[in-house]
Amino acid sequence: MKVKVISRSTDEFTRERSQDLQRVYHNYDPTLRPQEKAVEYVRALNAAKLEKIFARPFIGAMDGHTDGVSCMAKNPNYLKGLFSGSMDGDIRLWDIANRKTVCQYPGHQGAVRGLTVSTDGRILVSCGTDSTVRLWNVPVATLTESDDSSDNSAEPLAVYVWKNAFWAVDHQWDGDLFATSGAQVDIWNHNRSQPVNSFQWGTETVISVKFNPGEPNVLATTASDRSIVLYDLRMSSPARKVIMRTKCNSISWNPMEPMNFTVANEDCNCYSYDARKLDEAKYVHMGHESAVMDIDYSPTGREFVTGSYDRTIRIFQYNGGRSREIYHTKRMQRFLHSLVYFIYLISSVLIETWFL
Amino acid sequence: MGAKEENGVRENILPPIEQEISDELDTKVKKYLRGEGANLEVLQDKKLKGQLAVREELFGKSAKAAAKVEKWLLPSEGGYLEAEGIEKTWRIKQESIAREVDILSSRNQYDIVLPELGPYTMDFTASGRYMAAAGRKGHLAIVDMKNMNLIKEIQVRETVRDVVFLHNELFFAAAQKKYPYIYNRDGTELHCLKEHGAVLKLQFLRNHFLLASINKSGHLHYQDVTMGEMVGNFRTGLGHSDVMQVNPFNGVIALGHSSGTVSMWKPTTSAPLIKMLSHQGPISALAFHPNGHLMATSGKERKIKIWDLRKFEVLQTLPGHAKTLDFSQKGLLASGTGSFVQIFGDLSGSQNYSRYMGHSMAKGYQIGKVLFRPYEDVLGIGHSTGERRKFALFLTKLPPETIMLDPSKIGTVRQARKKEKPTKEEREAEMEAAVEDVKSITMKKKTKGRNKPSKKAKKKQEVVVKAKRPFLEQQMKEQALSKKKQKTSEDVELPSSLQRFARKKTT
Repeated sequence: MKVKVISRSTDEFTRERSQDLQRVYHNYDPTLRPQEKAVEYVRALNAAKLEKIFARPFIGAMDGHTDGVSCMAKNPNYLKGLFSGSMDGDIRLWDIANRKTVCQYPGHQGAVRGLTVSTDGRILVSCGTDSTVRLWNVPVATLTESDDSSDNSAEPLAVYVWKNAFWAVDHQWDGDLFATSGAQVDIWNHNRSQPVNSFQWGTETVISVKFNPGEPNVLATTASDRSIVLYDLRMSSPARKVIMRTKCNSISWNPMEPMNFTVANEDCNCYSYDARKLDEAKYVHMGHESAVMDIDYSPTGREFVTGSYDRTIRIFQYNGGRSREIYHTKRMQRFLHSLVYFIYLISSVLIETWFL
Repeated sequence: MGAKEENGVRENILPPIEQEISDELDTKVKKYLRGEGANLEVLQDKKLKGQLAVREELFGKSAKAAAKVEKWLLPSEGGYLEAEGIEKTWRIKQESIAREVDILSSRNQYDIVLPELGPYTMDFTASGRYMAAAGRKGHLAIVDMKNMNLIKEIQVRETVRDVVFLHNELFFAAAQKKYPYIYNRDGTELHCLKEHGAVLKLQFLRNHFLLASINKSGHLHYQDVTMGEMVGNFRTGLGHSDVMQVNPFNGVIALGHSSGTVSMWKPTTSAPLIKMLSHQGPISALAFHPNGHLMATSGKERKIKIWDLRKFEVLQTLPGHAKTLDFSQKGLLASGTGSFVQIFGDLSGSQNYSRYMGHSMAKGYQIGKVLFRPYEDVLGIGHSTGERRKFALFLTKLPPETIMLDPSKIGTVRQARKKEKPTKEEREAEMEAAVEDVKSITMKKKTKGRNKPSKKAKKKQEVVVKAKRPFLEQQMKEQALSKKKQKTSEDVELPSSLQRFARKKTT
């Protein structure tokens, strides 16, 4: 008779001294682990879910405004600076890194509707429902670093009163001009109290206006008659017009490919156009479930962020039909007025401001 | 030419020791290659062929790696018993085995005498370290099998029919007189599962965290023990059943009924997946081979049958009665009846089970249950259970939908069910081909007067029309159907409140 029995003594499996290495035993036999495929499938699924849970796209909320935030602008010359205007006429300059108000401007009588900063980062232009355009001095970067300037108030450089309420404002890239929109599109100079030029095509309200980052004299607007209109400042009349099925809430130029722009439409989609060929959209970006309220391109021009009435924020590739990322939290409101895309070093960081 | 041949020969010949090692490795690799590789020869798509070839190579590499590390991570081998001369393995007594082996192993032979509260049923944890034993008359005990320490014993003072460990040794469930209960290791009652009723048998699906029970009225219950949700509650409707076993390969539960039927169930369908009439008499025991392909059943008509679960066919019928059956991890089959235990083994590896060992206990003992202790014929004791490990265990909890007869289906693409409709062009081409076929038939020459060219032409036309008819009929039918659909969709378009204003169509 030949017998062999598994015999495992505890001495063989325990360490003699605590410095000894623990021996590892493992049996890879597949029959000991039934339903391998299902287990791997569930693990992969859970890993993907956990990644979403721990992604934490929300960095922080900046508290201070007493009414809803209606518009935002970033300082092209100073990475940490963010301007915001609220419905009660308050304008603030924030330090994003410290999440603090650096400077608070007296602001407007009514709601602030538009904010923009000149390319050199010296002058802030604001417009509002009180039919005024105000120019403000932006504090120097080194000054903002000091702590005691938290409620530093400043008087406006200039106040220009005009005939009608404003909806939006945008500053020219490398120039002295800025454009406001409302009943018509007005082109202003920093030093004159009246518009240099005015454009009108139809009688509808112009909702948003944006200058082309590459060609300083070209600007695009969207209006409530569902149109997108291109203007050239060197001409006396508007250049081109497209009428869409539904209204476009916002427009943004691609900063790296300045002939392309994308509009945020009421029909839940965003449309990318080539300004030279407006007869058809280059890309349609789908995904939102309700009207898209605002849009902004990343400085690299590779992707853009959109905010929607369905309380989500999405990030799209500049040529992608579907969104790359969806962010949604309970605190997000339906009326999202403004979005700004920031880039810090290599990681892209999104700062959302809604009703704070 | 000669040089070339030499080269070829030189590559093949290895030093004898290395050759032996590589042969040994090949047999081990087979275990880790999960099934046959894809047949790339028949593939037309070159890109796909390349992708699959890369995949196959990776599989081969990982299997080889697993086989190689076996030497280091799995140093001990399974035990065996061999006869010499005219000896028969089943005649060898347990006492003589105990005399032959080392002292440590002979200690593994033990007899815990608990004469008063039996017969006992038992369950092992997945690692085999702990055993829960339940006596019919209310005795529950947990034993650490490593040092044979009694961890806890309680007396519940009512009938206990079955006991199972939940996912680890900290919790166990016992089927008592009226309801099943869940206890923790200290013997504290945690839950009373009233919905299950008077349970006869309990089983726990470790991967899915499901506690399955069959009660006296033939209801099968599945309860999720993590959230307490009742996942399934089915009336079996096949008569009394006190035999239940989980197939470890796919998580399907098999029930043996008094009518001789074996039915297989999963928690997401209310009808059995399989119903098979396997015995003339009531089923007394059931067991699954760990590889999931073999099932052993025994009936009261004194037969033990071994089934191939891939074809649902009987492989072998062994004579004898078994009150309880169990497969070991290495594929030995134990059967217990009265006071006699018999072990069958497929020694040739051809799934042909024959007598391997036998052991008869003292007269008057009644065997309640036989159960192999896991990992006691192969190595691999799991250790280190901390909080983190427990959490990781819950992360791999499988949803109940993953229980199916063929678990390899997960991760594959489901094939389209219906054949797609032929396109209009295809159908026209088909019709034309049919017409051509008919036209090419040469007519027989008829008798004088009937062989007129006009008559011939007429006949030919008739045949063509006849060939076309089924295609045209089909087309008309489809057109009518689509028209009907359109009509209904048009009707739907108007809200009901506005329909009275719609202009009536003249039909």
